[in-house]
Amino acid sequence: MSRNLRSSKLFILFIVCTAAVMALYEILCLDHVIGYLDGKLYYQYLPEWFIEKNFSFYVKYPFGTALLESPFFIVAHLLTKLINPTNATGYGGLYEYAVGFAGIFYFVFGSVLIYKTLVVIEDTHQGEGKENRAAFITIVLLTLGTFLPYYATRYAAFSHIYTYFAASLFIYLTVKIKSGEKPGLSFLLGITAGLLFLIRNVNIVFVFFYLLTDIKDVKSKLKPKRLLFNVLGGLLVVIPQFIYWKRTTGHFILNTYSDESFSYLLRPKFYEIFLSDAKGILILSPILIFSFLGFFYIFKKEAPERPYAVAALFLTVIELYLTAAWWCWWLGGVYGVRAVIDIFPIMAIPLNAFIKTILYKRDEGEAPDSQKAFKPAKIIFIILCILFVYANLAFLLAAERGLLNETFTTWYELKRAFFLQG
Amino acid sequence: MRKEWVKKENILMAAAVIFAVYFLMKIFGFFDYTHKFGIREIITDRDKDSVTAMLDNEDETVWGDAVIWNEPLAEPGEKIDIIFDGTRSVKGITLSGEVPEGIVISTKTENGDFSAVDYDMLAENSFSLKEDLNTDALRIQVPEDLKEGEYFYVSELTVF
Repeated sequence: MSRNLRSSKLFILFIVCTAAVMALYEILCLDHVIGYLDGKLYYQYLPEWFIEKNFSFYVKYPFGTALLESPFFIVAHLLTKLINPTNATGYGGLYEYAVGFAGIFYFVFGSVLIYKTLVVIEDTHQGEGKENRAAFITIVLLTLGTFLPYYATRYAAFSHIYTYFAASLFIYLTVKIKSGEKPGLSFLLGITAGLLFLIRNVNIVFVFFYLLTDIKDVKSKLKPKRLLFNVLGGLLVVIPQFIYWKRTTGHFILNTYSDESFSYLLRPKFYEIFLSDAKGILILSPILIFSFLGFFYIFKKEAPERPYAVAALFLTVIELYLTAAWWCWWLGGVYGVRAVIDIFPIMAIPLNAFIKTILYKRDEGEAPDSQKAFKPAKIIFIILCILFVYANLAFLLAAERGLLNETFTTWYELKRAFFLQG
Repeated sequence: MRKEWVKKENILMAAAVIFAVYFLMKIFGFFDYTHKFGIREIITDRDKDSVTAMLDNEDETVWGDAVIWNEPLAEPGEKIDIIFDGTRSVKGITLSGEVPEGIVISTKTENGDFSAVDYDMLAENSFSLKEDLNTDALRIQVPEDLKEGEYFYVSELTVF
């Protein structure tokens, strides 16, 4: 069996097992998914439309999350009506499982797309598949080393797992278009951009990933035919939102955050979102250090990721800057800086490059014994991965048991969690 | 061989190791300067979610939610204890939420009891102690002779 085929099989096995564990967790351990903070507001369109027939319902969040939850909601609703029609209120019971399983579904779908993206990038560059094992390890580290599973299950009603999926799709389509695939993908790209906007309006920045990919080739992206397909696809998806806003508020275009602002534009809370024990991305999910270090590799001339380097860096910086500049940079009483999940599909690119280089790099023409120079780095990398994955899982376990204040974690809570105390 | 050891991979892994050391030191509290008052723990008589944040007395550092989900009626003598990780000099305390009149502020004495201290009101729910305290714990307590129908809900508190 070829190495890459083995990697693909391992990946499938990993994803299936992870989804199964997530499903068991939701069935056995979660008592509710929908009703927590913003999650209920994203979801509320569904019972209002399908059950209350209230098409004047307004909430500040767009209906993209509800749209992606809807297939699962419909199944749950039909089953509930069959089993016990009096419970068909849109809340509780099977509806909770619907949203929970939607989260798992989009986690799986998003992860598959990220894996395929990393493989296509590698395949396109080398002419034939060279090193896909790193793609598998990238997905494993993103799943076990970050709070991604938490937002695919407990917080499945929030928008982030849906952005994770849509962003993965958008990046995959960008990579496929770059590698010269069918022009029809431009239309699908437009639809995906529109979907990203519908899930969370600020997600429109993902368009820059496409525009900045292979930055010297901007002109081909602005060719009328391709642009037309992009725009048509996007409008097809966002026009219904504009019409709905007009119906419910009297305005086609709306600033739904008019009473909130970017209070820290000139003093962004970078320390707080990266390194604070309260919310720090690198403290709660230390594995992400390798993603940031991976940016040192993707700008190299010979790197397969080079066409995407500027785009990946720009999106990462802009997303984290917007979060650090927001008045509520801690993003509420939930675990971690949840907005970073939206850019996990982008951060997978440098992370994959880092893993590939440390674990599998073979310089052309070097004698086999020169690999000794890499052995210490490889061993250290494996040890740190074990440490960081352990820390992440210990923190998540503590959060699940209510031992961490998710709004504002403190170092002594993290220390107790690290040693599985409490 | 020397040239091989200065490869980028080794340098970046060294950076990762330095970060790992920082991470471990962080969770052991070596870089706790964002919590100026070193609040180790908040103990409340009711569900701890009713105190969701701690603020240091700097506008730059703001933690926690101000969303009020419900405003529970106060129970006579109900309390919130703020435990520091050492002796701190405290001038006062500000609470966000619903606080009944006649709130009692106490400091922990040497024999472990809490003894009430006098204060002035700076503003609504902002209490300045008449004398600065050196203490490792503060208590905020609802008076025993509570007026009927009073609420007690604290979503954030500031020690200064």
